[in-house]
Amino acid sequence: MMVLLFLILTFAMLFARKGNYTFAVAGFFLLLILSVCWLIYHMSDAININL
Amino acid sequence: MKRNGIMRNINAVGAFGLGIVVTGAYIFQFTLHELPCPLCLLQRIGMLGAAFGLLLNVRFGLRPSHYALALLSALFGAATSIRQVLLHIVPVAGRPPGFGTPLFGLHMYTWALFIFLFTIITIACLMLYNRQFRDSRVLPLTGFQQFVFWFIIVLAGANVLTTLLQCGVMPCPDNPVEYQFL
Repeated sequence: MMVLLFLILTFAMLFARKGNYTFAVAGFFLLLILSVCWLIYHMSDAININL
Repeated sequence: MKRNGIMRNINAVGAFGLGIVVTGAYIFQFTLHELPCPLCLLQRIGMLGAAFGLLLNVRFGLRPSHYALALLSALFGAATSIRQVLLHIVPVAGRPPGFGTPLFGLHMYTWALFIFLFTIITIACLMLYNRQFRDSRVLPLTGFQQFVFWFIIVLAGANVLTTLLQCGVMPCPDNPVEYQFL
């Protein structure tokens, strides 16, 4: 799961390096959304609530 | 034009500094054999994401939206650090305080919080300079900027590899003690 986040980040960086702005920014937003979801999952799991 | 060159270099130096911090985390991981927890990995993502926003300024020209991406990433990292600080803020009897080995008296997640706060304040200060946004031309990368770009890309790629070795494709354990695939 965490591997996926780093993989998206790496590809977003590579797209940025190649000059593909759309894919770079889209990858970044995907990364940010998934990371926030993961953080919420971690918090809800630890305090044992159902979201 | 010249000032924009300076601002692009300041962004590159900022991204390099964040990369150095993640490299420091790697030194902890390999020399002290302290494997990163899921929240530590999210903090790494926050740092590399902030560096990514700064590098967009270097690659595609200076824009407020690029600073905004860096700020969003730093805010996410700060939220993750605060979460981890709060998890360990109450000492448990019979257990060492906090998670991992402290560095200069503070744990890594506390240092991470300070670094994210410093990043947010620095980016806000950089955005105060309005003239940088008048010229948003895409300029070729200098040698140093190329180096910083590849440095951050290699760090992100290295994290893919080490995280895969540590956790596989499943969620990482809360208190990892060994690599799953080593």
